[in-house]
Amino acid sequence: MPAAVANISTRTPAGLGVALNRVGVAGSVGATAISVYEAARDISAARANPNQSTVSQAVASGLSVPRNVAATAGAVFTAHNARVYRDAHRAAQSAFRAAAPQASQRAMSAAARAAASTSVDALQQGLRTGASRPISRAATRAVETAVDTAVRNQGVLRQTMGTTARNTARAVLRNTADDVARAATRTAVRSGAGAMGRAAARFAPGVNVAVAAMDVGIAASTLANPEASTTAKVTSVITAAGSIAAATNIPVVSQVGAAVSVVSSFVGGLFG
Amino acid sequence: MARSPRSSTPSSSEEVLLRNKVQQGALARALSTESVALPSVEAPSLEQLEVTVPPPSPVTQDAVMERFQELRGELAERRGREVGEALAAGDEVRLDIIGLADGRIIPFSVRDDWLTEVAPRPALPGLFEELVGKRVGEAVRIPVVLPADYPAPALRGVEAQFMVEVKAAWERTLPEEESPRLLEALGSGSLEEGMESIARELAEESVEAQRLEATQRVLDEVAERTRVELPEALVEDEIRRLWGRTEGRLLARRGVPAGDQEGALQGWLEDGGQRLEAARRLRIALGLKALVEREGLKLEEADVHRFLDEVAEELGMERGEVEQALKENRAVARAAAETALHLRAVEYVMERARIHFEGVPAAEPGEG
Repeated sequence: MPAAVANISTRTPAGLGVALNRVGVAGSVGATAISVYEAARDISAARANPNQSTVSQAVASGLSVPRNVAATAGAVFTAHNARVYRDAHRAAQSAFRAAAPQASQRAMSAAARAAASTSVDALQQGLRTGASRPISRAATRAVETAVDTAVRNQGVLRQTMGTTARNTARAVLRNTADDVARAATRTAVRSGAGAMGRAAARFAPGVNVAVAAMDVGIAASTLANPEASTTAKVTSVITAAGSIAAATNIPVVSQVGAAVSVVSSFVGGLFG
Repeated sequence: MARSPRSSTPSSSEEVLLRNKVQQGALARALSTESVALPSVEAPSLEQLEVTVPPPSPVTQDAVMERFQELRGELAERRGREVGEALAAGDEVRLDIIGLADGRIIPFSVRDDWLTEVAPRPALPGLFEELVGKRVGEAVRIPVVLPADYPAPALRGVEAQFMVEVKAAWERTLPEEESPRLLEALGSGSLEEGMESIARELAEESVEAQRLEATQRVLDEVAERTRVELPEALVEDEIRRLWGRTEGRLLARRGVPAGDQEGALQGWLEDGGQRLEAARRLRIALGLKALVEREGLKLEEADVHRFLDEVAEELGMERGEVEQALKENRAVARAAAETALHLRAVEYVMERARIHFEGVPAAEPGEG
């Protein structure tokens, strides 16, 4: 390791950045943080394994999926590969759960009993009405009636929440910035949509982040920012909604998802 | 190859400032609003569009406990810690974080204003343990040796360095496991009933996840049936713009040097999963667009109103307020209309697909 980086402290004086900022030293927080960033970068470079290629090349294969499944230049897209990759991604995300704090034996036992008694049966009951036949609007509705009408009626972002959070979400959105951020992140944590929402609240370096999770995170952060404009908030929620809804994402490039002429005339008529 | 009319992504004053700040390099290209050349495609066939969804995993004890602890955390009493005050295990914290290895930013390791708990994570041993005793307002460097079973194989055993800024923290006092407040939130009279309630909620969520998985699989098929040769440059442009909207923006805000930003973008461009997802996204969107045109699908005012009602509810606003914001910014209005049309197209496809849920007996014709 270079001498210049060998003795860099792992910490800066407590509150230095915030304190400087309070007295009006513009950019001081960033300046403090960037020096720590640079130290981290230099130390990690000094400790690089000479037998390993660069990080970006090293993690290019990403998760534990074969290279022919994760796309490489010129690879042929198949539905099978997309499914294999999605399964690998879900499995990887579960590794980033926080360990549960100590719970009493009583709570552990109660959880064990609850898990044992629930509800593969109930689950299948919910799916049964929609199984093995064309998913028409009516059939889709039948499935949803069994399980998620409330979810569907309460907004797209909240499809990623657990039921407990839904009832309070609107009230919370009107609270202070930190409370809003906390609530928004929690709603992602309490995901009804599996790994997608939970990924928004998990930190998984080196593991590809689902677009929907990124957009949920941005929306949460924008809603929490008291200085964000109405337009910025509306934009972030529309983007997140586009990412989450119907389990697909609209590409970023030129919004190619829509027929341009249909949308252009519509926008002119409705919002012009 | 058809060229789309010029369109802009929604912009804000913050975005304009960012653009002005970075005139060249990775972020400038990533924030570009230039239109791109798109291949034209034939609408994919929806004949015999059929998928099978495997059964969901059963609810586990760990999942019930995790949800229970989350709920306790939500109901905890909180005291904001002062600047300079030390963190303790179990605190809630708001962090900015970047991970580095081999002198470069680890892809997907940049987060801003991340709200989390100071609690150990098996995949990141020592990262959160080391935060105990650090102070609000500090920026610290924490070395972490990633474990042998780390999900990204190439990072296994690597010593990563994490730059962490502690922006805020809250000391939490969790409610007792059988406190009336906690049981009330669970809608139950006892711990056992509360756990049952959580287990039912998890089962309901699994059903919802099955429905989403069915949609994913149908759209996978649509992507495969969309006959198009996607230029690598288009896939990379899509990834670059996504990076600019997310990680690139955060790096620029923090003043990370342009060269390091470029390296971070490279990590995204070389990530196989990111490429696969971008290709899937483009194929689905191009296929749906062709379907909209072939089938003459129209965007009805009611579709847009329903969508805006949902958006308004998320924002705690009235729909009229949202519409006013859209009138003031046509790019955002356009994004809203495009999203509503996209959803309409997905619905159209789903109405024509057959879904089999594995392990579930077939319904009788006409049932439901």
